[in-house]
Amino acid sequence: MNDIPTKKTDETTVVLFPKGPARVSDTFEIAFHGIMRGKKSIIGRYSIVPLTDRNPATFQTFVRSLKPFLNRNYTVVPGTRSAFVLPKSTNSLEFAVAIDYDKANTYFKSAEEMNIRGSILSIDFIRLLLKTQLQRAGVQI
Amino acid sequence: MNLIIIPFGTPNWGVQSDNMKSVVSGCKGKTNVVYLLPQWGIVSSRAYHPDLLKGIYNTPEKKMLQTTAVAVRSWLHHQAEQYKRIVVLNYGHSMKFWNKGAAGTPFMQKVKVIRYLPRSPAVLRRRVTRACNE
Repeated sequence: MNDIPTKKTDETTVVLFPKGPARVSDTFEIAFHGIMRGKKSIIGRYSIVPLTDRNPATFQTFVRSLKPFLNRNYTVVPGTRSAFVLPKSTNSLEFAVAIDYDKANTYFKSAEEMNIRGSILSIDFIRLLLKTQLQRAGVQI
Repeated sequence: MNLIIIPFGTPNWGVQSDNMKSVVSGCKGKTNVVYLLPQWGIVSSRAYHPDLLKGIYNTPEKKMLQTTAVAVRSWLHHQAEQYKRIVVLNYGHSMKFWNKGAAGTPFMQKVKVIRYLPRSPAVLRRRVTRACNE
């Protein structure tokens, strides 16, 4: 489930999804939860962790307003889709980023050619994707 | 099939602009138009929305340059094969993203970079059209 490299290999291993965590708003942050292998794509899952000590009521409002948009795919870049999901196994809100295998291969190829180490996608990119999807859905954070 | 890449913020060269309509109608065969956006890389005009640009300014420039360059390169490896000719408008700092991302790829032989001419739209239109039809 968790393919994130250890500290020792961080500098030499290339992974697609960044680890985080990253704060998205005053209400919640995202943290890498794991990857899943789909039929056509690799899926990076990010837990949406409430900053409960700050705004518990605001987070509940956020989750409620997000419910109509669960499992709806959003695409900006070809070969990449993202969606908010509520898996039965964990029953906690997650942000899933699915990247087609052929697209993922091009990311790795590009990273190799550009000598990139660590994660290919940045956590800022994941955060921006999440924020944009929320804005397009009209959900306030 | 041809591809025209417009860096983000190029004045008077949006997809719906008269300049672009004139160029697309003058190009032989099908011509796709895409935007080059910081952080996102190459985004089709259909997927583009102003919301994509909200929040990009919080990212450090070096990190943004790397992320965008990887996105551009990955897009080229994924999609560029289907295009016969790729025309890039050279405008502003967006070219940093393009140069870092596209340098050394085998697709560069299809690429024609046209310098943006703010005071000569007719000349620029002619150059872009000619580059598409070469």
